[in-house]
Amino acid sequence: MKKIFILIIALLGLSGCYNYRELSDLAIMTAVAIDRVDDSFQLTIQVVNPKKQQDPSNANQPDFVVYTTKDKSLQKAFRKVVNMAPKRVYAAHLQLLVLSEKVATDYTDEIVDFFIREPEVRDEFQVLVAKGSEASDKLEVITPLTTLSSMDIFNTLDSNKKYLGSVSSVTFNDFMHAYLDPNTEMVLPVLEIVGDSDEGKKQENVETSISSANLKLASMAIFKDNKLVKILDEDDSINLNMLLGELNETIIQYECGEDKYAAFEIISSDSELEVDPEKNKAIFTITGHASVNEVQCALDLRKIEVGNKMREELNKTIKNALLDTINTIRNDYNTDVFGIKDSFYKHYPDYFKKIDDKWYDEVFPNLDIDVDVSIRLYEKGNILGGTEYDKREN
Amino acid sequence: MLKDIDKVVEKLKKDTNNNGDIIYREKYINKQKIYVIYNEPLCSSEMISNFIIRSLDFIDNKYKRKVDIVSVIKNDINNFKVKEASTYKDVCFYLHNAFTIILVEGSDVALAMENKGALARGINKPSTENTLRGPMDAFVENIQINLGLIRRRIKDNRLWSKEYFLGRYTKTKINVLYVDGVAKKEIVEQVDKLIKKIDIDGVINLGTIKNFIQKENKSAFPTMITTERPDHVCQALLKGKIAIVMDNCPFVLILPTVFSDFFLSLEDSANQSINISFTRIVRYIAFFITVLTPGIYIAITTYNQEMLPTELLISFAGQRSSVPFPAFFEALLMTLSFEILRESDLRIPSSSSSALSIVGALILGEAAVNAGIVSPIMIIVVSITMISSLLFIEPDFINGIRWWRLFFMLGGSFMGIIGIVLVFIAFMIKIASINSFGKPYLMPFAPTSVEGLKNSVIRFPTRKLNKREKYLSDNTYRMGGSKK
Repeated sequence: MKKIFILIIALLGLSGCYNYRELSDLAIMTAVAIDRVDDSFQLTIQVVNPKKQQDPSNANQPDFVVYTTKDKSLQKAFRKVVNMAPKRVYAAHLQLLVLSEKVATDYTDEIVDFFIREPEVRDEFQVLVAKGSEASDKLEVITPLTTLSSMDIFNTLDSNKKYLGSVSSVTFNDFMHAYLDPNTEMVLPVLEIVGDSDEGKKQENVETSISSANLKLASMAIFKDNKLVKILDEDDSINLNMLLGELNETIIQYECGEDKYAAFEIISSDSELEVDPEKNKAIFTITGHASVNEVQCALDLRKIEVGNKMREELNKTIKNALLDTINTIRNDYNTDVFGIKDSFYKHYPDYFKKIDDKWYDEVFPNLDIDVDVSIRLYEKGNILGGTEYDKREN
Repeated sequence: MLKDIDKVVEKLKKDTNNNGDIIYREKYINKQKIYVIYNEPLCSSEMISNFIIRSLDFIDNKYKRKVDIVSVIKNDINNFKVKEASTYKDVCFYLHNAFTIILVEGSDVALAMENKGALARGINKPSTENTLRGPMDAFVENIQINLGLIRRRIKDNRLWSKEYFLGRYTKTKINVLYVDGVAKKEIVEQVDKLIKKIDIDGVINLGTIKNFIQKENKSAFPTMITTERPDHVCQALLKGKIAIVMDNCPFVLILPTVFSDFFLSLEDSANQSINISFTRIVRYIAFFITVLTPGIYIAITTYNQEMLPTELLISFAGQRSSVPFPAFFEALLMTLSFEILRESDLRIPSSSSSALSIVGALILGEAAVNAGIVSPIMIIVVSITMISSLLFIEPDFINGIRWWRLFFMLGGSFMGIIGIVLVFIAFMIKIASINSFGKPYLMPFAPTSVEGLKNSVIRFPTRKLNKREKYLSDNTYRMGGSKK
């Protein structure tokens, strides 16, 4: 017992306080944006100013500080922050990595390599593509409602993913796996600035009720061979997420009468992909529930046939939209972001070996892709007859 | 030797340096000389005049023939407790124990009659162990009253008591109580042996006995409980424990005590078991809070910042940004100032305690933060730590916690969470190795005892607690729930 005690005390004492760092000596980095400027990587690092959070007398201080460095290698550029910051950059709380379009197109190899090697960061931070000129702009916007723009982005991403589904969350872990897997193509959510990005960097941006610049997450970027090929529009992004089974909730609408629309909330949806090598076919089966949220036409939902017809109409709308998205992506960019190749690889390995080399040249463009949508109407609302019919009966 | 009473009185006077407290009264019965000797401050003079002197006069009048005076006095005296002393040493012993001595010329024995004066205060409310629903009497300094309070609760022949007189000068009366057939013989014998070995000048406090008896326990955690509540003692006796009652001390020792006993409260049996289970869980959580919190705080803020949620880390960093000291020093400073505050609060008279609390609260709370010496989060950490430690009433247990808290702080400040884990391993080894009168300290957790677990972290309904714990008693069948 005594020996164990002495050993433990010696162990504690002789460790030399390895890895000791006081909280006040750390610059907590919450977001990084990477641009490619003049053949070098330009890093933009968002560091929290903890003093501001603590003391109301520091009200005129900024919530966060942005440091920009530039070098050929990412590691050197990171270390160069020491030139400007009075504290050591602490990366374990990194939440966002924003890549400019150029970096996402040509330099994903370097990014993945660096972040896999870096021991301090966790692999749970979100990876985003910045639409437009630079990635650095996005981190400099001062956002209302949240103190840090990184937190704003993080929360927007989260709520969009939950309630609209036009973006899906891609952590570095997912990103890395998609990157390393030769059979899948990456997708990343896209970050853009709405408004004047220069105005958005000023404190006035949060002092008025209408911000001059706002950060927006509304779409997905698709990749081919780990290179960015296209930023989809919002509807295509929702469709893509639905096909990938990443969708939680979204709103689907179709025209039920002349300039009259019916809107449905998809409460839950699931997607299953089946491939058939003999028929050269891939079928997505979308199942789920939807509720009727808005009916502008005069429809009496108390009648079963009306309800059934509405359901068919909804499924048809979704099916057409999904097929549209699939064909656009396939015909214009010839990239298999849907994971069809991976499905062949998993379920028909022998067949996969035959088609592996000629996937994008012959197989994928000629594949018969079909979608089978069976969303059930789950809640039809409190006024089954709609305003039109209920009025007449009273 | 006692036959020549003049010589005895002379020797006594010489030995006590003619102490004026001892009163000598010469009397004659049938023309035979007797001495009535008593220690005035200890005895009730009124009782002696009213009963002993009057009885002696009565005897003198009644027996005109020559009789054996000793047996006559023994028979006719108006006093209940009459003892015979045959040696000079016995005479001294009784004299200093508030007995009135009657020395009879020519007799080998002296008679000793008890006439204790009222030197004790009345029975008051317990001042260190509060209760909401329970008996409100507490022990006092008089051992007779204390024994009475216990015997009033256990009315059975099997409540056995062993008497000892300890201390070369103090000759303090010690009673070891146990319920025969319930308490384990081996523990009784062990305690007997340990008490008999004690040979010191004086037993002033229960702590003296405690330190001699728990010789084998070198840990900071105590293996016995002190209590001032008779109901607590009775409950322990019925479980098979042993109580040591001491004269001149309003506390009673209960042993053997294991770790989980410090989490029990008498109040528990007065409430619904389901509610008490919740309270028990809170007590165990509070134990770990009070031992671990400062250590974990130091570990997380100086080594393992990645363990905190980002928002919390930012808030911590903001609060720490104005503090110039390392987190360990800050924590040490705060715990130390709390210990000083607690110690001074115990010592100062209650009239100045409000001044202390104002100064303490202001300095420790407001001013230290405003001056930038400590961060607000540190105040919270120390407060919750210290408040949690106040859940336990046994002072020695709190002091044991204090040591281990310091070890955890050291571990955390040297190696972060790994250090905490290492110290925790050492902590478990240490308390598992404590030997409480031959019983493992971590009963009933390790070694596991089903009966004990029923009344540990959660409390089963009373009717299910129908067996005594094996480590305390060979007779495990308890009164059970209701009659079948």
